[in-house]
Amino acid sequence: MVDELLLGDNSFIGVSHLAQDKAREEAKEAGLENKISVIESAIAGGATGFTFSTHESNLALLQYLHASRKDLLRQMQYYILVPHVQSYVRKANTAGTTSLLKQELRNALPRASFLRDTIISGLHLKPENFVAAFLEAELAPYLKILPKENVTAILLHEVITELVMAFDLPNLVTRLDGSLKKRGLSLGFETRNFSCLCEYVSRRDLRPEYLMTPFNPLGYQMARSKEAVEEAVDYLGKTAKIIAINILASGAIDITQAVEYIGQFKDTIYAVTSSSTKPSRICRNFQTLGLGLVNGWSSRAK
Amino acid sequence: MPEVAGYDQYVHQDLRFAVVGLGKMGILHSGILNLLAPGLVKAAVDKSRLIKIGASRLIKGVNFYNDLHRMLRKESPDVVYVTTPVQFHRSIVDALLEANVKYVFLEKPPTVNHPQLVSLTDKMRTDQTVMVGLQKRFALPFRHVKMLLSEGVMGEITRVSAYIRSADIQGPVSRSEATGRGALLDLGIHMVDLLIWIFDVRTVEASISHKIYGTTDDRFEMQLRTSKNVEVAADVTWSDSEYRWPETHLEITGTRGVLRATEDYVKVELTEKNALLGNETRLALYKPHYYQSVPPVNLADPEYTLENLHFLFCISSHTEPLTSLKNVSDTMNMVDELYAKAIY
Repeated sequence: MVDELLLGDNSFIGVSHLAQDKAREEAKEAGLENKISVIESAIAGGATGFTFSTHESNLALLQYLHASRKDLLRQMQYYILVPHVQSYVRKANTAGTTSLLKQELRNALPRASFLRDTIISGLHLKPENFVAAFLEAELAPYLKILPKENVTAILLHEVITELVMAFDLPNLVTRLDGSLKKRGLSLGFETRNFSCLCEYVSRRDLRPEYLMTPFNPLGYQMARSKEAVEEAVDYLGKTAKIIAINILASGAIDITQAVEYIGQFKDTIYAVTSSSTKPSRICRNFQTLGLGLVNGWSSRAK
Repeated sequence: MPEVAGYDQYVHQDLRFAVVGLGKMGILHSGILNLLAPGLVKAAVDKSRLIKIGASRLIKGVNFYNDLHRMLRKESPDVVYVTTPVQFHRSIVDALLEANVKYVFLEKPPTVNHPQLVSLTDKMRTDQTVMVGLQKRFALPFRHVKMLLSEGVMGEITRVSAYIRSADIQGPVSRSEATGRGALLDLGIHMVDLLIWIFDVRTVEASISHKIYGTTDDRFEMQLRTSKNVEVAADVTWSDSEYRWPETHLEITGTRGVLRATEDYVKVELTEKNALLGNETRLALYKPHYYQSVPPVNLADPEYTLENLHFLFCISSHTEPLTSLKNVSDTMNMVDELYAKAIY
């Protein structure tokens, strides 16, 4: 059953899967004060958590909450998407992939734990260790400021998840999972190829606790197809906690259509997300999602 | 979409795939291929020892090489994706054609200039295919635009304006210094290709090149004309920080109204109702309306999977790709002309 309502960060970091001009408009609106208002309204509407990627503006926002609004910081559970792929794509565009790798190694070396892990992974010639150390280094500033008990899961960004499946990298998954478990954290996957992921985790006997994927009545970003993803959600939802994102098909449908659709799967969907730069809209969205999808919502809202 | 119908049959052909160049485009294409059919890519070449050693220790199902010729001898691939920086394209494709590789996918831009492209088309045997990764032709909104125009929805076209903008480059770029060409060759080629494909642009009337960070063009403006004498104004930049991802924009003014389109949407406003707009005067369709349950693999933009499916479909059906080397020859020729006529 739907247990959590999560605030998403797309509107905060200039991402729209509807159209880039919408993203540009939202990015202009999304100043720090506006983001705080959105978070307050989201919590007032019933949001229980915040899922975000390791984008520098999210770090600035969380640092502000840590310094000045610990009350808000403590009221949310956190689902962190890592790494922030777009920033690396941009660096690769300028410098090339090999130079990017060397540069990231150089940038991360001054961190003591990263240096240790890099030397060890170099000695063992295990790139899995290097990737784990690299992700830990990217997560470090967030884990430093977020209340430990509120960080629920670390989710691999979709591009990494798709490459894990494409190149069959179960050792990497095992290594990342082990490294996070040592810190009391849980590894999950974000994907836009959910039916492929279903086949992959079954074939490789992986048992991720959290899975995040687009889920909407249009079948947008649902590969291989809407029907295949629905079947996979039914199957994996029995063992994993599935977080539905892009439930509004990037704004092409309204919230009531989303509730009606997800309602058919509410026994297998664990959490749903919503994102906006408009405080009143985000509050309304979470109220509608809560009323339509969360069991015992009325008593919880009180 | 012919590429999607029955795709499961033609992605499972008995072919050996290799990738040359393991940068982001090489990883993207191999990722899509392997998600379409697990284990499709058998070999990869990258001259960087760091990448070769790292990748070979991480990925077990692919054989990695530093040397192209060694890979060709050992693997005898049927299909090779070339995703290196453009200055290496001609010599690599030359070697592939020489080694009798039947199917080559060549990332854009195909070559540094038109003479290099001609040298490759001259070398190709009739049973060899080279497809160029100009994937904007596979973006469904642009396909829709082409269909609407070919059905005469806009009436007579009187003016076209276009741009392609990104925030990719915010400093000097070493790879463009190697070719002496910048944003127009690397990014603008998509827009030039669309303008030729959709509007039959034929003539360069004027062009201006702007340098911002380095020794090559970071911004390019152009005035073009179609075979039907329609004026086209266009600009290219890879240094506009407002554009998180590359965006290609077309605005078409016709005797019956205005059409605006990007990779994300098609918006039409007409003076009279039209059957192709559902008997309305207005239409606004976005990505979620176009990409419903398609494509079957979602990695980066959907147009990448569609172009890969098109390539596999062409291999299976023995047909010429929409963006074959021959079919994009005019595009490369116009890029040369724009550079030749540019004032700085």
